[in-house]
Amino acid sequence: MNHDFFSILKTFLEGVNVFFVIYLIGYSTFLFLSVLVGSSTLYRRRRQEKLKNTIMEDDYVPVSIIVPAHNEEVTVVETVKSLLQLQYRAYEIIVVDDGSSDDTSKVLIEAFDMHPIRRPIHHQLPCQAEEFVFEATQHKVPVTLVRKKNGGKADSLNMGINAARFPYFICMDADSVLQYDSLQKIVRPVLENDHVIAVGGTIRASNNVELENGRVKKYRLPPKTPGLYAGAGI
Amino acid sequence: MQVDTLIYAYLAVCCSMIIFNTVCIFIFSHREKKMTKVSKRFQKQVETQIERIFKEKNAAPRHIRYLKKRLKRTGNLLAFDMVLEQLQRENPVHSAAYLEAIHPVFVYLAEKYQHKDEIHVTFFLYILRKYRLLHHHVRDYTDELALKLIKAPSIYCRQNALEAIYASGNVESVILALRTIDESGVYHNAKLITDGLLKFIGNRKRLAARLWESLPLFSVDMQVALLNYFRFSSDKHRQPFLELLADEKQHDEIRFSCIRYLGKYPYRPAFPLLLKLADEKNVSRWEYAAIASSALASYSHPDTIEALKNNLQSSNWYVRFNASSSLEALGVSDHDMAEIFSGSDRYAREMLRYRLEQRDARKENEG
Repeated sequence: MNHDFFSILKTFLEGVNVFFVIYLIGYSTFLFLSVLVGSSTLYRRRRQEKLKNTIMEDDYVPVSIIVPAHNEEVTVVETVKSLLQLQYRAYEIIVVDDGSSDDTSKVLIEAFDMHPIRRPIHHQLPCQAEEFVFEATQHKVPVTLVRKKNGGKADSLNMGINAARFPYFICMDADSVLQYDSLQKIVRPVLENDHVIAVGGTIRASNNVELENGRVKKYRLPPKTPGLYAGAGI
Repeated sequence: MQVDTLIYAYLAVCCSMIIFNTVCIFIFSHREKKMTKVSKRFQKQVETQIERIFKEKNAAPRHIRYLKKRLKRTGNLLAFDMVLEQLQRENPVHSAAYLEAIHPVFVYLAEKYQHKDEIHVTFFLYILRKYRLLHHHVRDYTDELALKLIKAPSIYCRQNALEAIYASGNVESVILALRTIDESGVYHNAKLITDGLLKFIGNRKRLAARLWESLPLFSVDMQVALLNYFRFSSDKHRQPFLELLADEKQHDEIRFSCIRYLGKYPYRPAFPLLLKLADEKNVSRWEYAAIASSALASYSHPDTIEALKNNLQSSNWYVRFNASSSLEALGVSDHDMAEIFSGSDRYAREMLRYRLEQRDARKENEG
């Protein structure tokens, strides 16, 4: 009886052993293949850039950047400042204040010298009614602030789409930054193929990364382990 | 034993990753160094040849042979481009004289590059465009190469080929290139065509005349791109544009382009037709009313104000939006404003109020 039990246990443990070894090999092989595919893609893109296999002009497709903001008074001004530094000419910035209880709208109005305007909004998509609209046209591109009752992120995006002047729009968070040449790159698939209606980008955590005008200046590992987890979680 | 084998396999995969990364780093850093070295070598040769060109009026046959041999490799062409770019920036006269003296090299290379991958050919076309090498001396092969690559599957290759042809200043090559791209059926963004044509270096009047002459030979999409080019380049086609607009058999997109042209360049004989189009009541043809409402901003007349005031009450948002914009541009009188603000149409009031507030804000910013 005992002999049978130990024999089964031994077989089971051997099975577990083999399973983990196979798992490790499978995982490392997957990583290795990812490195191969990733590096070959990066190499191809780098080569394309180097050998001028790109479209060099940057203003073929106008884009509306929609920034939904809820209680973002700490980050929203810096976000809009960084968006104004993008290497692109034909775009606009629309910040949708989703019924913030802090001073999100106030800090924006003061920072960008915005003025109130009674702008009619084409309500193509359902969303909460706007409370007020502010605009600033003296910057590199028009900046619009639409304040509405709280309705969640999807509701804010709908409002942003309703207020957008251009058919192509980008949705981003108020605590995120776009890379300086992201608009140039994101419109390329649209230029290449008229059937393209949506393009995706890559989102990366920027903890311990020093950014200047959408460019990475310096980066280092987080000094404390909890910081690393926080970074990975974003 | 089986487990041992698996562990060895795991170790092998890990080692492969380390070796792969190390080799990649080594190759990339080596390439950078090699590129700088090659570039310096080219620079020395170019400097010597420039001295010779100004003394003896030609480049040494040995140098030509050297370039023919070296520039067959794209990496070397990349290094050579760095040298030429610096030379062009620092001394455009020397650069022009040098490029003129070595033109047989590019004729030779055009023949060689046409057998290479598209990524390499695209770069060669970029060089032809950048240094405007498709001029009369080297047209034979280079022009042929550019025209051949117009149908390439890669948009970058096609665009570089087109831009090299625009930079050549040859009207007939441009027409041929556009017809080839149109007939091949490959998609090439209309904005790229329009903006590319605006970069044409050569007799623009002749280009416009030939494009207009060939217009019916093109597909609707290409015709729209060409009509947009006319809109951004010349006001000399008002009557032909009016004739095209009046022809109801024409495609809607072509007629929209005509309305935009006649909005940018006002033409009195077009006014009655634009008024009629702005008054389009058929809901499915709202674009005519919207675009004509925009175009009417250039036609100051009491009838225009009446038509735009009516369009402020349109059920279509875009028609109202454009009509309000035109009314603001025309400078609505106090009487008309009072009429709109006291009217029952909320949309009309909101739109006009927005436009007037925008104008005030603009004035404030300018002031």
